[in-house]
Amino acid sequence: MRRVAIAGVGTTTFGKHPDRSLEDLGREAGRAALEDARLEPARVQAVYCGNALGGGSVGQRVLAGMGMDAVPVVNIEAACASGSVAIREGWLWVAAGIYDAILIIGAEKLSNRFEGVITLDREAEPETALGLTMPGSYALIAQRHIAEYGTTRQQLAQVSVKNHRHGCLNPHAQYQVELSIEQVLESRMIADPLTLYQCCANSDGAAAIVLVAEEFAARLPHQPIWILGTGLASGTSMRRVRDISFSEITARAGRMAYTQARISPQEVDVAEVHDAFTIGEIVACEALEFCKPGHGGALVASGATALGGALPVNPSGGLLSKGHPVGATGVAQIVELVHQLRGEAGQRQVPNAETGLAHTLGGGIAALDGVACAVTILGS
Amino acid sequence: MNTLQISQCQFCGSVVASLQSDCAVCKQRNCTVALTVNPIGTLYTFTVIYAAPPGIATPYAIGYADFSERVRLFGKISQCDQLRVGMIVQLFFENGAPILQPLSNNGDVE
Repeated sequence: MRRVAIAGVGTTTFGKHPDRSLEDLGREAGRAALEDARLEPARVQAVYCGNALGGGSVGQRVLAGMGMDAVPVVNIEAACASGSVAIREGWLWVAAGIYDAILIIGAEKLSNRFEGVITLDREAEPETALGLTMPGSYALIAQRHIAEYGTTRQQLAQVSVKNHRHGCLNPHAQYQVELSIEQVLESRMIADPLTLYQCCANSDGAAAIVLVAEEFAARLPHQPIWILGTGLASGTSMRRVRDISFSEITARAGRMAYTQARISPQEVDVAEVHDAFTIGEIVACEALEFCKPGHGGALVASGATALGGALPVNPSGGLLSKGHPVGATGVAQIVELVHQLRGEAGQRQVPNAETGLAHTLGGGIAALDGVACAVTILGS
Repeated sequence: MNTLQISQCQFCGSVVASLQSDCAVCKQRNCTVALTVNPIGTLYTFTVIYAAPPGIATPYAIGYADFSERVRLFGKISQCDQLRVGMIVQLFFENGAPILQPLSNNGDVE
């Protein structure tokens, strides 16, 4: 297997883009990543495209407007982890020596798809028929975490406060506004204990990265950032007695990535984790072994995961502030980590960051604790 | 003692209110085991939903409860107020849908 470097990154602004098509957003991000890598479109040997709800063939639809219509395309759907799984699949083909340069695009347009909360869109599931919603499934985890570990509503809110503060430093973020703990707790209740400002918004946006084989890394315009390890896991049944306050699917994907990267959790300098809901970041930090199970609330309250702390989590603003265009999210997490590891993240730079971790957890099937969880570890 | 006959699918874990050999959820055949459970269980976790898809009245409560024989069941909870993890609930079925009813004057079991 060859080492694989990230040669270029690009992203659109995340938010509501009512006047722009999914294809248009994908092209903006793709062009930006190619330009960042100083790579001619003709040199791209394959494209991997992550999208969850765009209706199919999104990669081909994006590329047709970029003069890249003959390039082999693989479209990948893994709910919120679609972009992350696309990166992992593309990485494998470069590492295996089949391709030397590929483009990965994640793109989504959600603002015209849902009104209000995202439901679990599987009619046959009895939980959905009984009223389980996407925020509801995370609220069930939060209530158990509160009961089991004494996690407080203030600690949950602090995740949102921290990530919105970080998002104010990210010009691509959807919400660049500071929130207080009181504002978060007093916002409209969605699924108790999760209030509106503890839930990410439906967003439009796209992100892209260029991957190249080790042999080409010396010729890149930027310092190469290496993919050191990846992990992927699917979910297990929620219809059995289990501890739902622990994100077991995250732990499995994380262990796989740590083993492949040959690093320990203590070596991670900066992380982007799946904070679609505040409790999500808390249980992710525990399962990724940034702290012990049950200590995730205290971790965020201590300031350790804020910029300036020992292990900043979601310096981009996370899904809560940056926005969550589902298929683009995993790719955008990697874009942020590349900026951090290159040392070009500006006001939100984590000093001397050398190792970064991205965690994306796709959900949406009530019977499972997750659809797919992907963990990617990068190193400079 | 008050007991309830249910079937649990060995593939997907789904529980149905009656004794039947095929799973109503995953559609596997001859895959269920019959269980006799005490319908008195404990609330494992819950939430009260305030934002639901259009057309569904809010608020309403849902949750998981644990019963004897290591059975966990997802159901609607009959009330939204004074819910606590660990409280004792009684399971019954209404038009085939599991309902969890908190029992009054019962201490927590955990």
